[in-house]
Formats: sequence, C-alpha cells, structure tokens
Amino acid sequence: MNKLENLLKETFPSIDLAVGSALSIGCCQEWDSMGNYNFLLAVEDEFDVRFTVEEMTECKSLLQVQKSLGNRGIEL
Amino acid sequence: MNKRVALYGTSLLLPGNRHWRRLADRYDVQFGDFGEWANTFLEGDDAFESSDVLVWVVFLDDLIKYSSLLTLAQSHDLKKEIDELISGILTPLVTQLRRSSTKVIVTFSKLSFEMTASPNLARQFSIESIIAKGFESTLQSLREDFTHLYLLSLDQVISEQGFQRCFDFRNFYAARSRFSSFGIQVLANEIMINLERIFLARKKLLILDCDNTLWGGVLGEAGQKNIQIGQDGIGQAFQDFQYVIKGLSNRGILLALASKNNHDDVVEVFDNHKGMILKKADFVSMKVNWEDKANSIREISNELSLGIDSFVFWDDSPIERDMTKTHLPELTVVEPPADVYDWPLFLRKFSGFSHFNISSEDKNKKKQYKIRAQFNKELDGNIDKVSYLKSIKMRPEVFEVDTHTLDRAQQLCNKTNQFNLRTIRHTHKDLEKIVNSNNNVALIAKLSDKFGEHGLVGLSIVKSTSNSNVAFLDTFLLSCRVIGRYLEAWVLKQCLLKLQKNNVKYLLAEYIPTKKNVLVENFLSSLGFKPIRDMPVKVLENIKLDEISCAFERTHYIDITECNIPNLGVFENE
Repeated sequence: MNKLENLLKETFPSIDLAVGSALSIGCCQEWDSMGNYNFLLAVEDEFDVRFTVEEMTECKSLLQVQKSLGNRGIEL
Repeated sequence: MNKRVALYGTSLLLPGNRHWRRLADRYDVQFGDFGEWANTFLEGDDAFESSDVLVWVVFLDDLIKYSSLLTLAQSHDLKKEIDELISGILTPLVTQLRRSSTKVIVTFSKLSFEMTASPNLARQFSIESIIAKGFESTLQSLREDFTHLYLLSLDQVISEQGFQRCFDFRNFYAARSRFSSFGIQVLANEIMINLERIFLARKKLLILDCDNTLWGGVLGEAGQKNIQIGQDGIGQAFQDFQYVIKGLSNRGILLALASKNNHDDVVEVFDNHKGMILKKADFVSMKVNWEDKANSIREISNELSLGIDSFVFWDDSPIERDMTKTHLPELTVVEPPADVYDWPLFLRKFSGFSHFNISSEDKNKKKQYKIRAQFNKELDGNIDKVSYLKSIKMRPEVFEVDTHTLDRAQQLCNKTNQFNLRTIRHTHKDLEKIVNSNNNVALIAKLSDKFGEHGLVGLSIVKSTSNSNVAFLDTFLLSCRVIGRYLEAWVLKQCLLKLQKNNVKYLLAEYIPTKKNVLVENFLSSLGFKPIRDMPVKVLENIKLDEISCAFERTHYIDITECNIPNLGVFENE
C-alpha cells in the first residue's frame, strides 16, 4: 500500500482498496462530500502541499488526487 | 461507559476529520447537523438531551454578517441596537440553559471578527470591538445565572499557536469551516483539556524539588548567595515559576517539598533570600533530607491523609522522576519542558490543577491540612486517644443543606472517596431536588477545635421511604482531613435526633464497597447497625428495597429509639 492508500484506509476504514481505479467519492459510506474534504486536508498535511479552492471542490477520486500531486512534482 | 459529548458549531466543524480522533477515543462524540444549533437549542433534541456535555463552538463572524454591521454603523442609538443584537444571538443558548441542566461549554473566538474592523479607526473603538466586548460580558453574566454554563475563550490559544496557522479562509469559502486542519487539532485539544477540567478530579498537592527547580543551581555547592532566583535572565524565569506556584496555592492547591538537601540550608533560603516568592508558610509539608524521595512522598501522604494519586511531582532531574514513578506508579510525575523559560506557562496550563469551580473551602485548604498534619503528629505521641481527643476541644455543628451550602455539598459528594458509605456522586440538580423535598433530611457538618476551623467536612443525606416509619441513609461521608475523631458518630446522632422528631423509627443503611472506601467497611456495625435479616418480620414485610435501590445482603438497620451511639463524650458540646 502506498502513502495515499494508507491515508484512504485511515480516513475511510470500511473502504475496499481492491476496486482500484473506481476509488472515488461514494465508493464507501464514509466517503461522502465531507469525508472527501477531510481526506484532501489529510493529503495536504501528509504531503505538505496546499490545494486550490477549485481542487478542493473538484478532486473527488484517487486518480484526481494523484494527478494534483503529480502537478506538484509528487509521483507515487 | 464513555461520557457523551455533543458538538455544535456556528460554522462547519468537519466531523470525521482525523484530528477529532483523539477526542472520539476518549468520549462518545456526536456532531450536530450543520446550521442546526439554534433550532436544537430552542426546541431540544432527544439525541442530544442525553449528552453529558454540549459544546457550542462560536465564531462571532458567523453570527453577525457584514450587512448588519453596515446598518449598525448608521444607527442613532448604537448601544441599544448592539444590546438587542447580542440578546437575540444568545436567546437560543439561554433557552437551552433554562430547559436542561446538561453542562454547556461555549467555546468562542472573537479574534477574526475584530480583525475585520477597518484600521482607520485608531481614535475610537470599532463597532466590531464594541460588539465583541458586549458578547463576552453578556456570556460572563449568564455564567453567574447558570452554574452549568462554562466559558472557554479560544483567542488565547489561537494567539499562542498563530492566527494564520489556525484559520483557513479557503476552507471557509470551500466548505464553511473556519479552521485549518491544524486549527481543528488545536480546538479538539482545548475541548479535551476542558472536559477533563469538568470530569476528572482535580489534583490536590504539588510536590516540588528545590535545586534547579525552585531556584537555579545546587544550594549545597553554590551557597545561598549564588543560587539563581530573581536576577535577570534565568533567575527571573525561576521567580516567575514561583509566582505561578504561589497563584496555585492561593487557589487551594497544596504545596510540599521533597528535596535532597540539608534541611537548615533550605529553610534559610526560604527565610532570608530576597528573590524567593514562596515562603515556608506556603508549604503544608517539607521533606528536606537525604532519603529516597518516594519515602518522603509516602510520609507526606500519611501526614495529610491524602492519596498519592492526588499528588503531582515536579523535579528537574529525570533520574529522580523515573525512580519516584517506578516506586509510586499512582503519582503524577510532570515531564517539564527542557528550558526553565517555558516552565511558568507550562505549569499555568497544566490541566490537573485547573478546575472550573473553586469554592471558598478550596481557598482555606492549606490551613486546614496543616491543622491535620499537626493533629496526626500530636495523636501519634498520645497513647490514650479518647483523652487526647477531649483535650483538643472539638466542637462540631450541623446545618440543613441550603442554597449557601449546596455547592460544598456537591463538591463533597464528588470528591470524597475514602470515608464515603455509598459513593453516590449526586449532581447539583439531584441535591436541589433532595433538599427541596420536605421529608428528606440533608445535614452538612462543620468542625472546629483548638487548632482552628476545619470548615464544612461532613454530609449526611437521609431519604424518606413510602413507609413513614422507615428512612434510608442515601449518603454518609466525611472529608479525609477529619477522619479518626469519631465525628461520624456525632453526625449520625444528629441525624437520628432529627428523624426521631419526624417520627421515623428505623434507619436503613448500606455500605457499597469501592476500591477506596475500605475505611468504612465496619462503620455500620461499629455504630450499632444490624443486618436487615435480623429486623422484626412485621417491619421488614413493609419495606420495599427496590424503591431505594438497595441490595438486601448489604443493607443494615438501626432502631432509632433504642440505639446507643458510642464515643460521643469526646466532643465539648455533647
């Protein structure tokens, strides 16, 4: 499990990481819009980055988060 | 079972955020729906009524919009309009406080609101700052009216941690949350500290080392002239630390010394060094010797009849801290910051000593525990206890619990562990109900002797039952500082006299064992109570033990008309 998946598991304990690319808002009960916001805040803490308002409202899947981190030169 | 805590915010508190986890591990935390605080406070909500504490997190910016400020700026009677505005804002809170006795912590910040004021108003107070002051002072006055209201200003901790780090305007516009991730962490921590102030028993005694703790340097090596206390630099830090300790002492925290030093040298510093803020008289016990500190602490515990779990130990030496903790695991050993400069603030914020309610009894504690230590010392040297007790001229008194003594009665219920027959932790509201019912007898006892006043030190609550011949001893307790003087016998006698006047013939009582009250294991039999199975069958048939939630095998009774309470002769007024 990479750092991002660890964070997902920590934020949403019931998540099934096996669904892979389908990991996005709504894929488990805890991952609702509030959960999503808390997840993005945790990502900011963990990777020492700061997302824009647009990213905070638009990043709703693992892939999108990876992309936003990638734009900052962080590859996972 | 964990205590239940309900959290409401004027802006979103981000439930589920990782920084709430520590609070959620210790308490059963429920978040109110965003924006629902006013309705819930006004109309009640079953799910939250059962909470032990309701926390309302308030940002003035959320309650007073920019548009209202613009209107207010045009007002001809600003004061009146601001008063009306604040009163309107606080109406839901006042309704909640009136409807329910659930404890409410209002944790508020006016910092970001005041900061929005225009900077060109340097010659007058801004409307924002007048509103902020009015809001705070109205809350303060509500605290006078409602004893279950607790106030916690967040601005001090936000200033300490940094406004920019705690707030995040992006989060506000993206998710209606004023806090940054770090800010949530700070808020959760402050709430936790304050819940501990409400729920955990306050520590009673601070035990201090001397060298490099109360002053800089080693007295035995440097001599009195060269220790650092009061001089510029580090000497000033040690002095400020002593000021904080003195402040704790004034609020009722007892002080003791456990120092490896020559006794006379230390006393001389306390008596003669001009930089010392603490004086010999501030300490209830001074163990200055070359013994193991764990032994000294055990001796202090015996002298004062206080449990070591109510002690806090502060020593600069990690070895002493570690050794003492190993021998006395129940002792709270402080890990002080590495720099003495940080000690004054660290001690001021130490949650073990901070408590919301301080009664006048707390403030007189130092004197009373000194009396206790003196009593124990004299008693040790006297073989005939009864003669000794007679010689100290004890004069007990009892009063019915009333509005003036209700706080102390509740404090006794909450804090007394050793001499406590049933350890029932009555709330303020419970006690009010008990006292207001005509058929119950609630007596609070006071004691004085040749050493001085001991204050209000005993409580006895007798509840009536559906059988008018029979009453039940719901609570019987004595403060540990007056144990060993037969005061329990005298208080019980006063209770029985009162019951006799009310035509009660039998008093039932029960001992509920706890980890700490083994002291009263034989209390009932020593005063003439008998097991309930020996009661006349005709009387027993008419007693409903369910009504008083008493276990049959633990219940005892005394026949009020025939009993003979022993040891009353030791009291002057008997």
